[in-house]
Amino acid sequence: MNIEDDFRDLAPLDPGRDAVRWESMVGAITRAAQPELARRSRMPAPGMLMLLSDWMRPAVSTAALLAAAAGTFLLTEQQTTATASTATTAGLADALYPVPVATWMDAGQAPSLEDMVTALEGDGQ
Amino acid sequence: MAEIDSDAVLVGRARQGDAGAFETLVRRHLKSAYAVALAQLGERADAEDVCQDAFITALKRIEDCRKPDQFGSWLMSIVRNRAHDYRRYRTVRDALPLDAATEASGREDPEWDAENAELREDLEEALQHLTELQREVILLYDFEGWSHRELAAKLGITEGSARVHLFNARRALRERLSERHKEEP
Repeated sequence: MNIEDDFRDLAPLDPGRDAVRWESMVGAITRAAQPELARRSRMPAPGMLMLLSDWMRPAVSTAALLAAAAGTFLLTEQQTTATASTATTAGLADALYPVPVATWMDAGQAPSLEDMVTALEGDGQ
Repeated sequence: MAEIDSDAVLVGRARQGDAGAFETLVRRHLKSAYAVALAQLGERADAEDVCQDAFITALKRIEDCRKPDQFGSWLMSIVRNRAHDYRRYRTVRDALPLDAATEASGREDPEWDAENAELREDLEEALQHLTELQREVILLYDFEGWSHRELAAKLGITEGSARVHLFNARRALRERLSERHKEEP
């Protein structure tokens, strides 16, 4: 079946078919627009402030976007620094104390007497 | 050959109160606005009222038209909104008697008027059996001669979809009209 079939008879509904009615529609709209057009023609030509106001909306949107991006970056950076700081502390404990002691410190638990003896013996070897 | 001003130029001039620029915009976009309004409302007088309202609203809010070169699409969204509001208002208005003056034609040819009125009535009735999108597609295609590509771009659908809607709308209209003619004695 041909999709471009020949039904094309909505002309009776076409507002342009009746020229008088068409002009009457255009006239009604332009007459109704007169007060608004007159108000606009009395307004001063767009000056610097109006041009700036045109830029205001995109500028504010961009600033908000940048602020959000900066906030996200700072938060991420703080978290990274905190993680690095913990890692640095752990590394320092490893360097200053014997391995078993550093392990106890990392685990945050008190060693038993046996652990301490074992550690001292190991350190002495 | 006279240079044709773009919508963007006309919108700029209308912002400053240029009546001629506004009238050119009206003449350029009235048919498509009317097609959209008629597709939603189904009655000529209502479609005319909504068009007038939509153009005045567009003029008052013309600073909100961020893409003046796409004034037509922006205007159509206003027409749709106003038609939607009008439909709700009409439920109240329908309780009142019809104003015969709004249906009067400018022509002084009673025979032509009578024949045209009958055809219009048939078509308006048949159009009510289509979906809103089908009505918009077929009216814009017929009144404005928009291509499938233009229909797709301005109605926010694909070109294939525009073709299918147009095809289905025509078929449904033809079937409805032939049924109606069979019903007549």
